[in-house]
Amino acid sequence: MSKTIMIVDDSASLRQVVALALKGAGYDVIEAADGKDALSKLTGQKVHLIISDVNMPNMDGITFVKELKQNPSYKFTPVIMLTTESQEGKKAEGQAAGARAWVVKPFKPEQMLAAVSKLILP
Amino acid sequence: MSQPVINRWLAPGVAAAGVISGAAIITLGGLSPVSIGAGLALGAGTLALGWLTHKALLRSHACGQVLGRELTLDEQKAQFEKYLDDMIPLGHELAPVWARQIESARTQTEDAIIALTGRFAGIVERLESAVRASQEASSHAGGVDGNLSAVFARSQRELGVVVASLRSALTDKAQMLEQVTSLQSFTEELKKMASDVATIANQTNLLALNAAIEAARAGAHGRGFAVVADEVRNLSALSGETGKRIGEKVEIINEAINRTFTVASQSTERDREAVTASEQRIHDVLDAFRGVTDRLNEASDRLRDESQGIRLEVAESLVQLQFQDRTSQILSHVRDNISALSSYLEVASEHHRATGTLEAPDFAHLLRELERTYAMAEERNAHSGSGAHRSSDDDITFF
Repeated sequence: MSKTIMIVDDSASLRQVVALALKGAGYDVIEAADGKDALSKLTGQKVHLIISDVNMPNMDGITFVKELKQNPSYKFTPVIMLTTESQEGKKAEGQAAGARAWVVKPFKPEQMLAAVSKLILP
Repeated sequence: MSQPVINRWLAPGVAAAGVISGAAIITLGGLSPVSIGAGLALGAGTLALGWLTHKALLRSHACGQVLGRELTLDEQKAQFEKYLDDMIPLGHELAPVWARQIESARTQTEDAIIALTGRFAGIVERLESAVRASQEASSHAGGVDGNLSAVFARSQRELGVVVASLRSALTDKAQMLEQVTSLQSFTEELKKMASDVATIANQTNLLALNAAIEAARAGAHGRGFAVVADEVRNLSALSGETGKRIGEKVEIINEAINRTFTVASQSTERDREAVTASEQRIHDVLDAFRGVTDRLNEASDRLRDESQGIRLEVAESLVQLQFQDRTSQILSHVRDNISALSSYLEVASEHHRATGTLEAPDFAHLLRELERTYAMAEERNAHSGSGAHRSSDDDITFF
């Protein structure tokens, strides 16, 4: 059975690009436009990994990860931050929130897939 | 505030802000039409504003000269207030128009890129589907247990079995012919035996005739013997007749065997020629079939390789479309900063009305606010004037 990955990004084109790379590698993909939308879609849905942007309307990526980690069902779900932010301070915020990796856009699909296969839940 | 102070702050301040913002948009956004348009619009607009400001101040100074006296403080104040009122459209009308134009360009680009990405993603998925279908068709042609090459090999094997069966039948027929040939020697023997029977019957007849003569000489005593001699003669005649009939039948059988042998030999020869011809035809058909399957396999492989190559190219092109996300963020930051410009102008205007002192809007603060919104290294590099090239921050950091 293929594994499911959620992409949270307010850019529809970016979501499509990430989804294409992941589907090409055999993963199922769920898309969400921001943190709030992602939380509303994570209601018992089995997700093996989440890729999230940082700067988003309604709920930013750092807040989303913090709230996600409060939910026992997703406490151990690995999160990769995929963002244009490259400042160390922001990275530290992501790490403190519970993210497992920080990828700066534009990403290389092979690097992203390597990170996904390294972190994804069995 | 004195006129020289106004001259020193107002015109260069407005012009500098415009040039910096315009250049920032162009350098941050790259050479895309959207960023060039937005950058030029903002740069040109604020440069024009700076020039107008400078002209207004010159007019004020010239007005004093025309009147032949220095303007009174009230007159100067009235002029400055008028100037400030004239500046209001910059914040309330012009800046929002710039912001809306930038937003329009940004959303148009975003919509186009989303549509383009969707199309490309569709192409990639269709190519993947085509490649998968081609692979499945190739591996399942002719059933679940083989591709075209396997079908060919199996056909060749099975036809080989058919030819071998025909050859085996020919061998059996040849053996049968040998058996028939061997029958011919038996019929010769039978003919000899029939001839012997006729000879013996003839001699027996002579013997019986002699016995009858001798019985006649014996008179009454030889009468019984004469009867026996007659019967022996009858029997010998009968034996002679039987021998003759046997000879005739053997001859008929011999001829039948000869005819059968001839017909069977001709048939065997025709069968041999037919099997040889069939074998050659099978060989030719298999050769042609192999040519077709080889070409089909080759074409299928090439099609699959090409499709795979195109799929990778399109997927790689899609990755390049990530620029939209970055330029969209840059344009959003500049748009928001332009939108904030009006409040800065209002603050300066209100300050003048309230205090009577004229202070330039806090453009330095506006610039800091713009800097605060930056998310990308390119934005910071462009802001500091070190270029908009991408820094080497594309590595993955694991925590």
